[in-house]
Amino acid sequence: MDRILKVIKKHIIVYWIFVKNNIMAQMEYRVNFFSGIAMEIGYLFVKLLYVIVIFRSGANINGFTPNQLLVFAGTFIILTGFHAGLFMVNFMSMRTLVREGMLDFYMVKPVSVQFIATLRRSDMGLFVTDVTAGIILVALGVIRMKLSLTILQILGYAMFIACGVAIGYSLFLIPQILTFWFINTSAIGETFNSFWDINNVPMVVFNKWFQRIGIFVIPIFVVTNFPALFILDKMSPLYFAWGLIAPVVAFVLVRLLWKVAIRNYSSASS
Amino acid sequence: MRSSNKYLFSFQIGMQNAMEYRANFFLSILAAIVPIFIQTFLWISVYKNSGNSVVFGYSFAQIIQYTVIAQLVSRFVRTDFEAEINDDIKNGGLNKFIVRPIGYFSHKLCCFLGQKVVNLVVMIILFITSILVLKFSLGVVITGQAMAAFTISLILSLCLNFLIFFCVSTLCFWLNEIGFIFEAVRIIIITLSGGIFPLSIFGSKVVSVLDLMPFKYTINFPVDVLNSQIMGWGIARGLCIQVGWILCIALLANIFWLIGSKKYIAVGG
Repeated sequence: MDRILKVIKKHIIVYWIFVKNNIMAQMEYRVNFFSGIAMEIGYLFVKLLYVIVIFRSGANINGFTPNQLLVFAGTFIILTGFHAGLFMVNFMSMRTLVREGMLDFYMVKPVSVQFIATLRRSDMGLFVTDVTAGIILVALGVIRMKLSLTILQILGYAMFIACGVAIGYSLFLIPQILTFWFINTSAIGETFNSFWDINNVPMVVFNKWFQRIGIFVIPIFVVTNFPALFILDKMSPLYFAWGLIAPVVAFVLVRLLWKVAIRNYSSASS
Repeated sequence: MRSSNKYLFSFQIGMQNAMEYRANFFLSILAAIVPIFIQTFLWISVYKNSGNSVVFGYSFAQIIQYTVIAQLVSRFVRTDFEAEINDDIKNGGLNKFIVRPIGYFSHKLCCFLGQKVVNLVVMIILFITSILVLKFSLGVVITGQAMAAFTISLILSLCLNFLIFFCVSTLCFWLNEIGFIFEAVRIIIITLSGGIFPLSIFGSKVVSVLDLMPFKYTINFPVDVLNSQIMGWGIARGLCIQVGWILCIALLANIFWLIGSKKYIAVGG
């Protein structure tokens, strides 16, 4: 146990160094940094269009009021911050790492190869923009509904956000791992990435079968819907249990797949 | 060489480019399936739960038709030359046009149109498929007049969108770094063009402001013409406005280019 804690502590320290280095690197190219934020605000605006449609139509969507749907939209935007700011910047460069044999350098480092290959880069501009905007939307929804939240509800919401982050990381890393076998997986990766936007609308919009597939088969709906369901007190015991089990299952699966994939790595260009 | 041949060569270069990257266009169309899928479910919920047969001025069949056709149109009129223009300005690529018998603007326009002729083949197949699916699933009927007006307005939208993004590209003369500026501008313009949702979702006040801008004439107008939201004199009026905007922005693009090219210092090349 002591050893595991030491390993975790080491990885947290290393991650903090990565973040600091990334911020320094981004500050060198300020136009890139600020135009990246402008771009993310543009995407944020597109996400808000879905909220505008629901609000202006004035309809309750399958039992959920527009204010409740605002909480779903805000949660989706918070998790987009993690997805775009912390993960995708790494996942996109995975092909280059494998194709050009650059993974060799990471193999000799005293930290996990998966950790360094999938988390070394971050874009704090995107992360902070999305997380801030998402929190504002969630708060707005909660205030408009006049909900009084307990500490337990806020902690539970944060816990399901963490679970969503873990599932999002695992789910979207899988198509990138295929790069170890197929080298060029850009089409698969890009098509799969567009599925992130499926959470632009709450899962209650889809029919029952899509919801079941999106929760239990490919748990994409678990990522952004479960925290909102929890805070709105609309979570069934089954969803509560699955919300805690799914990230563990997804993470273990992706870890096993990574280990198999790394055995297949042939260090092509070095 | 006949003077018209130079334009034909540029047109052919555009066609060759599009042929080479035909899979890219196909994939971009494929990526449109996800927003169509999401929005269709959203509209089903909105119409079912609101109890109204008309929402934001559209019937259910019209809004689904809008969702599908707007995605196709926005991908068809899309430009991809901003990064090339940036590269030509920053790395001295414009130098070669000093000795070439064709101007940079004409070359880019002919290339763009050549590219779109190839894309048109994919577009027509998908368009016919979508119309047939909409007809048999929702009973959507498109009149001959709407189809003819849509075709004319689509050609004009293509030219208008080219000119808008050519104007945006001239920013490269003034900015040292471009970063993601083009992408940010593109997202805003697509939204204001009605490429994601019909503009009526913003309400009448915002729509009256957007009416004064050229953007809605690139996507919202042709799609509304096709689904018979705009008919008769409204079509003629809209087409005249499109032509008016094309002339204005062409003039503006030339002015920006002339002023900007004075800052060009022919680095490298």
